[in-house]
Amino acid sequence: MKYIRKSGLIFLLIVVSLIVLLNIFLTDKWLENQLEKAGSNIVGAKVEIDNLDVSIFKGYIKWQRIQITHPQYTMKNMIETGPVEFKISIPALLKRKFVIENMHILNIKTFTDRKTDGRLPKKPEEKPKEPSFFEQQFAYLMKEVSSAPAFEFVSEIKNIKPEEIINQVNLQTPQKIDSLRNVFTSQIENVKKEIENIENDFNTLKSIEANLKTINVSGIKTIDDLKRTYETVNGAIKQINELKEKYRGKDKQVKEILNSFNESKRNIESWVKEDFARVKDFAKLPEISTFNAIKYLLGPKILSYYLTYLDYSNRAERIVNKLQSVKPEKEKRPPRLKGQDIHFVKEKALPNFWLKNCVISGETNAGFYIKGEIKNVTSQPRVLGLPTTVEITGDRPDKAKLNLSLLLDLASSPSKQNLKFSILNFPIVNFSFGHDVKYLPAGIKTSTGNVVVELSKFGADVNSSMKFLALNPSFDYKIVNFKNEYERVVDNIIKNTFSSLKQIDANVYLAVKDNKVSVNFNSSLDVQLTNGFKQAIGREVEEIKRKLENFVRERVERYRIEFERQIDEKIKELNNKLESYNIKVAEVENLRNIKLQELDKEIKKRSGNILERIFK
Amino acid sequence: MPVLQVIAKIIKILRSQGTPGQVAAGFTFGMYLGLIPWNTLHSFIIWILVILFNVNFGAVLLAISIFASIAYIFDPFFHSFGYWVLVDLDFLRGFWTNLYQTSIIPFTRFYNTVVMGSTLASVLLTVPVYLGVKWFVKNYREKVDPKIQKLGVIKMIKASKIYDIYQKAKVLSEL
Repeated sequence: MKYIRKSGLIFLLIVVSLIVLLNIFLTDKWLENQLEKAGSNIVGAKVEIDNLDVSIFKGYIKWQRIQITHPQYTMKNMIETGPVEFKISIPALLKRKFVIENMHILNIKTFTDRKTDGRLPKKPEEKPKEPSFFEQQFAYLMKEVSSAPAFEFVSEIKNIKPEEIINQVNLQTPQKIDSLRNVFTSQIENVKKEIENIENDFNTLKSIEANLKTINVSGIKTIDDLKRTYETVNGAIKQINELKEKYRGKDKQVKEILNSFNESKRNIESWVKEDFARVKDFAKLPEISTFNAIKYLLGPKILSYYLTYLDYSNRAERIVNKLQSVKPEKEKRPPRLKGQDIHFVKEKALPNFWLKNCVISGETNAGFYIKGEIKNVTSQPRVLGLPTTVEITGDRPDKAKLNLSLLLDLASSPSKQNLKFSILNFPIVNFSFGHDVKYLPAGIKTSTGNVVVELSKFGADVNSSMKFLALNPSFDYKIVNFKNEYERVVDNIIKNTFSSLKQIDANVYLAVKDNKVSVNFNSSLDVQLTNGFKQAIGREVEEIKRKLENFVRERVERYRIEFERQIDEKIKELNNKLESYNIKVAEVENLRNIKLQELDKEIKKRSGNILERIFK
Repeated sequence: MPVLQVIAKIIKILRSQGTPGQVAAGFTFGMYLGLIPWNTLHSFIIWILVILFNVNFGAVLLAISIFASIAYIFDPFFHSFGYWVLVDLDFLRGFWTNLYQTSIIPFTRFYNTVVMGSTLASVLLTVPVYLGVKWFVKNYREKVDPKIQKLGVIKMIKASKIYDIYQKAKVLSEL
């Protein structure tokens, strides 16, 4: 007992007793606070748990109610549950793992009123995070569907002056023509220099010609001399051919320059078109033939739904991947004294968190009585090897139906996700479209609608479709102050078109491939609205377009003509030089052939005479 | 003032009734508690050992205050060291994975880089710290303390009334 502190033993006993007492009286409250704090951090608004009761020894947890505040509407609960009780696995808990076999969450309610504001106290402002490439693309798409140039154009149609617009746009064709001129000039100069070098050969050609001319066949005395002269004249072909080859090479080069020059003429036409498109963009001229009104009507809302879903989905994947990474990347600066947890992943072992089965039922704020099951919610799907599934159905007394089916397979690589969501025969009341276009309806007052969404995600690639149909809709409009008569006409046409609608439909296809987002909206409504729009402002738009195109052509034309004239002249000069050279070569070649024939004839003649003399 | 307080505390510990071994053991336990994050199972066990065994409690507290500051400064080193042991040493991966699946052991939070780094650093420092402190206390008591007690200033303080009152108060507080 020399080494044991008696007082320490007593102290330890007191501490143990205190811990037991605290466990009985205070642990629940402490744990409740901890869970509320963790939940609030995840949601971004208050999470409140009422009467949490935890018994580690009996292995159960229960609470009377959980309120999860809506992060945007902090006087509302996003979700509120009734009493919940579930068992936790003690053997797993000894391994520091949290495994829930069966959980029943009954009496779920959505969007319920709160007695107090669920806003969290403001945190010191964090540095804004650089948006990812994916987020930037979504922001761009959102901007595209939020600003409707065709509608803005209606307000500005009277103020558009093509003369002023053309002065404000930097046309690029003249600059491009200039640089093209430089390229051709330098090419032509190079060929010209090389042709000048051929001038020396031209002198050689002249000396060959002079030599050939001096040959007097009848003046050559012996047959042997004739034969030698024949060989010399015959050998001149080698030099002539060499010079001919040189000529052909240069001729080919000049022809290539000519071809490329002709090609450039065609390019200039496409540059003019590009400049015209740039001017049209600057003037914000709408493309009325492909007027996509449904994009502006439903785009902002639908895109924000998609972005929210994909944002949560990506965030969940990122966290889960971090928790199940075999060799996690080293965190550069984890919080002081907190370090980095390395979760040693082993297949077919227990994950750190696993909710095996969760049965839910309740009522949504839209009046759907919902029931369903959520299976295999886990922090380490690869360890578990099972996908998370959610199956929820709901109905209302008026036969409206809701279905949600989600398969989230983060265990496989790349991860897979399949979402099917539908609401059928749902009465729509005071639905706001959430756009800023003043002519389009701001929302639907009453209707009955269907929404069917299908989304599949494979790794980072997404494919999804959404079909929206509202039957017998009546619309709600903002009050508009008209700036000109066109606005009034457009407004009338749009209101008439919408009031005659028996239904409004929209099909949205959204895909993410190789990190690039593409969206396509279409609706039968587009054809009707396009025709109406054409009728209202089509002629004016076409007139402005015609004027702008003429201005662009006028400005570019003088550059083009000057360029074509200059280069044409230079090429002609080269061709003339080469042609004179060609003529000279042909002349010398011809002379050589004549001389050869003369020599041949003379040799035969003299040989004949010798034979005659022998046989006489 | 805190520096003076620490010096006073050190002198008090050095002159306490505990053996050099008890002071050294207390200091070593304190080093563990100062370096290793508190919310781990082994930290809790060390506290029980400190309470149960007859080690110098003052030395424990002194070591905690010293090594807690060191732990804060050396945190990035512990993180890197722990990451190297847990992740980069491939031959240990199987061992850690099996350990992660056992009962109770995961409560030590050995899988945390800072816990692993600081625990291993503490283990490596155990022998030198224990022997070093023991040697220092022994030498202080045998060689340095007698000389200090013979210093004129100390004698003067001890002869003063204030010291007398302090001694009486100390006796009374120990009753």
